Amino acid sequence: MAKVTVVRILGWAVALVAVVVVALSPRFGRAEPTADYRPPVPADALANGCYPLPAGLRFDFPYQVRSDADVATPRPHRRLVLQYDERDAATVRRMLDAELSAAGLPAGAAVVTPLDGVPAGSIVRGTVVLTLPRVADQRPADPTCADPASTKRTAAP
Amino acid sequence: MTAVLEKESVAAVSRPRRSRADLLLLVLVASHLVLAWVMWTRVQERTPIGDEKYYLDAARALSNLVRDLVSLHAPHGAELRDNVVGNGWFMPGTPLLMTPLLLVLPHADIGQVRLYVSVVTTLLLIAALLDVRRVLGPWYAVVVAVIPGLIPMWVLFGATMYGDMPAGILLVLLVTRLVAVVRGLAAGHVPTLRQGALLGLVAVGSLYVRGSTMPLLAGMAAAALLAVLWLLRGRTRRGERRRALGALALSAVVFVALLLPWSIGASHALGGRVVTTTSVPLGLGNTFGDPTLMCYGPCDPDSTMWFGPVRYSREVARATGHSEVEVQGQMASYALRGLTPHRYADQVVTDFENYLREPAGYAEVLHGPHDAAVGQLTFITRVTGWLFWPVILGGVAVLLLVTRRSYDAQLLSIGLKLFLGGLLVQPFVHVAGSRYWPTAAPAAGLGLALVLGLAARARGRAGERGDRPASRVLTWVQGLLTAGVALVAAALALLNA
Repeated sequence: MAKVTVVRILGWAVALVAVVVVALSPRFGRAEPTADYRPPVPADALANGCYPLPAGLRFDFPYQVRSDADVATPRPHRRLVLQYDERDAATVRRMLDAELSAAGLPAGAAVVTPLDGVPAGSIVRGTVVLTLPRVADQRPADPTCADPASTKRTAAP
Repeated sequence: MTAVLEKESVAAVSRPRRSRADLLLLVLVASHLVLAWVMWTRVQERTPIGDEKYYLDAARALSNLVRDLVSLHAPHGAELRDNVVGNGWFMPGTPLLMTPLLLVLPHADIGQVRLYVSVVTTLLLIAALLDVRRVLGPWYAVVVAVIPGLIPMWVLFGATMYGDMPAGILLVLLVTRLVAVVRGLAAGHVPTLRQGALLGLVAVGSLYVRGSTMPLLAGMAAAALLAVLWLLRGRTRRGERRRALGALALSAVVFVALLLPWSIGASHALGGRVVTTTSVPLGLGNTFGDPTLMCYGPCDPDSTMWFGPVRYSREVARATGHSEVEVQGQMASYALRGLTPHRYADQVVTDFENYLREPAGYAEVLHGPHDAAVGQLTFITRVTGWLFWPVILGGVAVLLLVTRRSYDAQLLSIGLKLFLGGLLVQPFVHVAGSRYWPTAAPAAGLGLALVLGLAARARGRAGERGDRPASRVLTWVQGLLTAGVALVAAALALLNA
C-alpha cells in the first residue's frame, strides 16, 4: 500500500514538473533545427540561368535534366541529357521537332529513346540526348552555377 | 532487533534463490550504470553522426511545436515538414523522447543531449528489467542485465540518438506484457482495459522508435488475437470473451490513434500515402536493385545512395506534380527488374553477414574529437566481440527451441520467436549493418535465460514455480515457427548453392 502511495505521489510530481516545463518553455528560447537531412530541391538546370538553352529553345513537356557536359569529339559540342515524363516517345519527338525548328536547330539535334520495358503508368518514360552549341557559364559569381546538384554539369563522358 | 533478524532469516530461507538473484541484479545494474557513464564520456563531444542529425533536428522542431502551442501561435509548418517528416525515412520516436530536454535547453550542447539520452535509455532498461523480474523471474532479469546490459557497444548505442537499442528494450516490455496477459488468460483472468491500453502503447512506442518493428508487431497482434479466441473458446459466461476482445480492441485503438498523427502528417507533407516510413521502396531498390538503374539510369554522382534517389524523385515530382513517394516506388520497381531469386538470396546472405560482422563497428566513429583512448576502443571491440557469442547462441536458441517442459517456457519461446523472427525480416528488404543487432540482442538474452532455466530445471535445481503444465498446442505452434525458420534458411542455402 505504502509503495502504491509513493508511486502515485511520484507520478503526480512528474506530471506537475512536466506541466511547469511546458508552460515555461517559450521563455527558454527557441531551438534552431538545421533541416540538414532535407535540403531544398536544387533549381532546375535549365532555369537557373547558369548554362541556358540556345536562344528560342524551350521544352513544353515535363523533363528532368540528368547530365550536361562539353564534349570534344567528333566536333566540340554540348551534350545535354534529359528524361521526359508522362508522354510517349512519338509525342515528345513531335514536340521536339517543332521546338528545335523554332530555335533554328536541326531535328537531328535530339535523339529520343523510350525506356525499355516500363509499365504503362510509368511517370518517367524515356531519354532525350541533345547535341547543342557549347555555352559558357553565364553567372560565374553565382554559387548555384558551381553546384553540380543544380547544373548537372559533369566531365565529358 | 531479534524480531527483525528472525523476519529476515525467514525470508532468506523461504526465498533464498530469489534474494541472491536480486542482489546479483543490483550489482549488475550498478555495473551497467558505471559502463553507461564511461561510454557517455567517450561520446560526450561527438557531434551527431549520420541519421543522428535528423533525430536531433526533429527533436528541436518538436520542442518548438510545443512552444508554439502553449503560446497559442500557429505551428511552424515548414519547420516541422523539413525536420520532423524530412524524407519520411524515420518515425520521430527518439525525437519525442528528447523533446523534454530541448524544451528546457533549446540550445543544448551535444554532451548534454547524449547524457540525457543515456539517462533515458538506462531508465527504460531498468523498467524493462523490473518487468522481466516480475513476470518471468529474477534470474531472467539477471541474464538480460548481462546480455545485452553489459555489452559495451550496446551500452554505447544507449548514448546515441539511434532508436535501435531503445526499441529492443521496448520490445522486451512488449513480450513480458504479452506473456503476462496470455498467462492470465490461461488461468481464467480476462485482461483488463488498462492492460490492453498498455500493450497498444508499448507497441506503438517501439514502432515510433524504430519503424522496422512493424512485421513483428503484426505477428504479435495476430498471436494475441488467436490466444484470446483459443483460450476463451466456448466461454460465454459473463461475456468473458467479449471483454477480452474489448481489451485487445482497445490496444488496437491506442496503437492506431497514436500512429495516425504521424501517418497523416507525413502523408500530407510528402504528398503521398505514408503509413510508417517511406524507406521500404528505396531500401529494396538500393539493396537488391541495379544501382545503375535506380534513377532510370545512374543517380547524380555528387550524392549518396540514399540522398541521390530522393533528390531525383523530388525533381521528377516537381516536373510532373506527382508525389515523390509514388516516384520512389516506380524507381525501385524499375531498378529491381531482372532480379533473379539467386541474386536476391545471395544479397540476403550478404545482409546477414553484415548484420553479424563487426558488432562493434560503430565504436570507431563514436568518439570525441580529442579521443586518444585507443585502449577504450580495444576494450569495446574485444568485450563486445566476446559477449556477442552468447548473443548469437541465444538468438539461435530462440529460433530453434521447441520446448514441452512448461506452459510459461512455451509462451516465452513463442513470444521470443515472434520478436526475433519479425526483426530478422529486415535483412530480406534492406541493407544491413552493425547498427541493427542492438534491437534484437535483448531477445537473444531472454532466449539464453530461457535455455539456462530449462537446463537448470532439467537437473532439478530450480524450483517449480507452480507452473501450468505444458500445452500440446503451444508445442505445435513453436514447431511451426521453427519449421518456418528452417524452411527459409534451407531455401537461402539452396539458392546460394
